[in-house]
Amino acid sequence: MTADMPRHEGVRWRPGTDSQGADPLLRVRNLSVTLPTRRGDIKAVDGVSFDVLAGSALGLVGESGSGKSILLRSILGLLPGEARVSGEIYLEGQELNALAPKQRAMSRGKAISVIFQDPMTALNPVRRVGAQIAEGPLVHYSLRRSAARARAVELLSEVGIKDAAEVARRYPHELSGGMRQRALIAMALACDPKIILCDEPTTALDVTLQKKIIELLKKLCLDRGVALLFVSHDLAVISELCDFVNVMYAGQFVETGLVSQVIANPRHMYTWALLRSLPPVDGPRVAPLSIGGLPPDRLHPPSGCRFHPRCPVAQPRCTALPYNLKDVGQGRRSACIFGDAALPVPQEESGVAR
Amino acid sequence: MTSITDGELQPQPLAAGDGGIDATPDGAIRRRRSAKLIVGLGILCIYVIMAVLAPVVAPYNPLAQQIPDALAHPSLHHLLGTDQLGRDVLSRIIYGARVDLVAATAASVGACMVGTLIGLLTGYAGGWLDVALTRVMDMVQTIPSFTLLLVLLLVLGPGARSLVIALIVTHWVVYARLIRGSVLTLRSQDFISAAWLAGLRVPRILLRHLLPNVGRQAVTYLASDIILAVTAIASLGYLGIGIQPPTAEWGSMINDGQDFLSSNWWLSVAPGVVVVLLGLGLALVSDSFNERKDRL
Repeated sequence: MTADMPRHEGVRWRPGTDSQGADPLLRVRNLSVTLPTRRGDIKAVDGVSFDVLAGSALGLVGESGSGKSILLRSILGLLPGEARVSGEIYLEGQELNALAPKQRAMSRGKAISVIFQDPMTALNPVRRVGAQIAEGPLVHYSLRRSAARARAVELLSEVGIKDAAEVARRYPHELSGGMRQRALIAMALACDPKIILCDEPTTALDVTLQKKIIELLKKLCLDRGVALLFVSHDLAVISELCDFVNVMYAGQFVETGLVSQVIANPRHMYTWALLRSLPPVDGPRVAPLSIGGLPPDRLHPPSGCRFHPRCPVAQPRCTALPYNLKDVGQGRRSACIFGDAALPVPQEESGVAR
Repeated sequence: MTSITDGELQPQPLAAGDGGIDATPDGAIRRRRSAKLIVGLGILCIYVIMAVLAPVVAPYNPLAQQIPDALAHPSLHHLLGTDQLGRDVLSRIIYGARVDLVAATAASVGACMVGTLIGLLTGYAGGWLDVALTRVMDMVQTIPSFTLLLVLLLVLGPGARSLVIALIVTHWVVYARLIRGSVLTLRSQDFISAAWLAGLRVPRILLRHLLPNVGRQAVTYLASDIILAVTAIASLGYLGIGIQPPTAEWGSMINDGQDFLSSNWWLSVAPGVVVVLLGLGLALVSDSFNERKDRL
């Protein structure tokens, strides 16, 4: 895929279905994660399926507790020991859970890498930045130490750090927050991965820095044809970076599709409410509206559509109809009963409290 | 995200006017600490020089007996007199540094290495390995350490080598617990997850990523642990089951001199003072290490 071509053109992306043609880079099928707690089991992720094609960027958006981070960690194999995972995860056509631990270790770091949320805790405080970046290539490409160091410096300058050679000799606490995040990106790119999983990597940064980091990430991934799976609660960040978005609510996907279409024309009331809660940048000044009610109780999720207790246009049948993520055309899917066409505008804003 | 730099951890330079109130005690503490460190290191240096340069510094062969000269009082020939076999006490004390210091260091460093490795492994691996090794640690700690030492020495037989082994067996547990606890909190941190995700092997994660984070604690404890080892070696020598005569060893020298306390008290007191002084030097050094650790 070349850099000057929009990534979604010519890409047949059909979320949740078997894609025809080439195998997707990452294919997740019917993935569920159950976390046992003292009060009962929590189904943090409830049967999600999606594909990430090579070189494309998929965003996962949802509020805190929607299960998006757990989903990401389950792909990486980073869940606590008591978590129960079911479903299949294929990386380049290979079932990850079926791989021997040794092969899986090789796929980690090389085919798949990660950028964590907090750049302070994601770097080892007592090791020099350059050594940490060099470690992946050192291990995976059996480079000599000097060659790996040179690669680390090269990567650091690629992520926009001046005096890369000098910065490589510093310790993480001697770097600013933005530099640390850049160093993490360099680390994630060190072994030329095919896909990078990002767990809200810009949340700990201020807005101007956020923009710079997003642009850097976008540019690097386009140049190298690296796919992204980007988890965030921030629809704005996802719209800037990703081609596709999956909206997650209470462990399920409620809407999926091209970012531009989802934002312009949401097909699920949760997405609609989420968009309404963002202050508009231009146009008439309207106070942003928060979503009424409480986030769902994950121990005893609501019946039917899990959003119905907070939905401004909920119908009686919404409490009973089983979850069904159906095709609504243009490669989009929605779990809302109104998803087939434009959503009804709520009569009164009572369900959507200020 | 504000960066945590050195500047935030250290007292900010005070603006003129709002007084050196904060600065003065801090400066005083720092001076006191460096005084401690200097005195402690000075004492240790004397001992190390004694051990290394023993053949040069010692006026006599520590094993040479001169029965006619037995139990001589301190004089210009024998600064600390002679023992019941006419051996020069000063020379024996100087050569004793070789035995006590080397054995204590070997035992503590050995225990530190064994304990740190086991602590890293159990803390990181968890599971049955952790449970099993933690139970072993419990068992070692339930037995009073001196009793365990005595039993081990009886089994292994006397001598410097069995002494070091026995000390390692009784001392590694504290290191292992210390390191295991820190590793437990570190292993869930993102940078350890990241190292694992990078496909690194377990030994590399343990030694390159976890050890640099916890090694300092082990070394800090090591400084105070050597004192325990020195006293243990001297005590066992005193009891006659540690390092065997005729090797010059402080504990057995104290024991030998005991019979002549009324006439030649320095025979016991001199090696005793030597042991106490070494303990003091080590304590001063480990103390200033501890305080420094608190600040970092």
